[in-house]
Amino acid sequence: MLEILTAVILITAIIMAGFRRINLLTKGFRIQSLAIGLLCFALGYLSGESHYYVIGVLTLITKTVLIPHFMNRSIKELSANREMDPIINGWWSSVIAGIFIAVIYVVMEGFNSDFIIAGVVLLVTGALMLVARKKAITQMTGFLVMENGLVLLELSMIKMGLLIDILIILEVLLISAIMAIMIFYINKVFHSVNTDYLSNLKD
Amino acid sequence: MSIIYIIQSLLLIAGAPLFVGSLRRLKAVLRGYKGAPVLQPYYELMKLFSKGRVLSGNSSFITSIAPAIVLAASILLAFTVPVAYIGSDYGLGNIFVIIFLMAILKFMTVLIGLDSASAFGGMGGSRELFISMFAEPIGFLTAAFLYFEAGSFNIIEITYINSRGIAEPAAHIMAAVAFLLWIAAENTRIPVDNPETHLELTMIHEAMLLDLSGRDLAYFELSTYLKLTVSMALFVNAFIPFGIAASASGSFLLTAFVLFVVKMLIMLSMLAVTETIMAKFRLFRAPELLATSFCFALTAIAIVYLH
Repeated sequence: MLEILTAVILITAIIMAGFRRINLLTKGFRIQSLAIGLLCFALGYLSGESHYYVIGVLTLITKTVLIPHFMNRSIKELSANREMDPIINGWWSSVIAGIFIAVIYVVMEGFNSDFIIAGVVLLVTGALMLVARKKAITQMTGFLVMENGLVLLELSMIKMGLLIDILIILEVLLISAIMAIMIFYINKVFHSVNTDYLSNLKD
Repeated sequence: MSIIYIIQSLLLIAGAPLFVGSLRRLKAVLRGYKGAPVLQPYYELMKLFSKGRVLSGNSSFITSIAPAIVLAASILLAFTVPVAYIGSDYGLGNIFVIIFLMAILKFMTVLIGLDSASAFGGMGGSRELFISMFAEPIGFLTAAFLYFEAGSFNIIEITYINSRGIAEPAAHIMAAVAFLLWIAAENTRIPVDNPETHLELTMIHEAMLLDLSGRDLAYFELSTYLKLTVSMALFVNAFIPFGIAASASGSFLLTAFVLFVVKMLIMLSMLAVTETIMAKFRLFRAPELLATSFCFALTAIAIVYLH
């Protein structure tokens, strides 16, 4: 069961690196967060410790319900619902993501836990989405994928305190709420969320 | 070469139009109309054999010999794939033989498309080779993944080792998804090509066969059905090979055969659902899809090779 969920998480990360439509990105992020929540439940069932269940419930509530709700409310006003010309174009996104993932597996050869490597894969794929796109909403999705990678990383570490888990998840919630509000206002002023126009503010 | 191998490959050749007929019936049921009977491809082939051939004046000897070569290559392909019984004599079945036989099929089809001296044949040939330029690395990467996982290039040994247990299920699932996209690209299924289109500007595979008639068209249709059946049998036996019979006793063989038919029917229904839900991608969006599948295969190899 753990292996199937790891495969689903990796597949959604690679697919999201190549998508251009925004509603597909939101759906992919939801499926990924659902897989991470189910992974927390499976780990809690296997090891018998109760703090995994709490992380799982919190992850499901914030990342499957609340954050997509914020994102949907702020992208409802958008006129263009796909990324027109990203910085890295077309199929090169997927190929570069694949090369990065292979390099990660080479570099982290000594670790035998599966989730550390999957967490770093999500971090790098999220960073790729963050850097290689021009629209603010896809950059926000890249940031959220990086946060998913962080949650996977901390799942496989030694048992951290419950307080730190709750702090991380609340931080993600607040930052994504702030980003959604800012995207809404950027759209109102410029009538697009292309971040090239933000350089008009320089003078 | 045991007699059971020959019998099961002959059954595969005889049953390929039946699989395609049941795929069309499943698609019709999903779309809400009654559909042709399941044995309809057999009737179409018999009708085509009784018709005469019409050859263009500008075609060369390729039009005379290519249909026979294509049919011979696809029949040979059916003999290299395990169906329900794997014994201890691993004669045929090298993965590279399978890949290169499919390449011979594609090459002769493109040649006959060019040979008919019509514009649509050349267009279909160039599109088919454009897509296969992106799809061939995926095929080779999946073959490399199977080698790293099982330690052999022979598909019969790979089936036997995989039916014992899978070491890395996460990598296995990712390579299976990559291989499914490869099947869609090689056999001209949605989302890469629409197999039942009648508009020539949207055709990729059928445009090369537009100028054939009679016996030649029957050979090509049969080889297309066989290529689809063999690709799906390859997927079923390399990635979900539980229940395969390793000894020639009666009950094991029967269970393995019934399980094989059930697995193929499940794959056919997945294919029918995909073809009903989605539309064909634009031609220049197909490389993005195949690049994603390439990335899956690369990740699967990275997981398996370094653990």
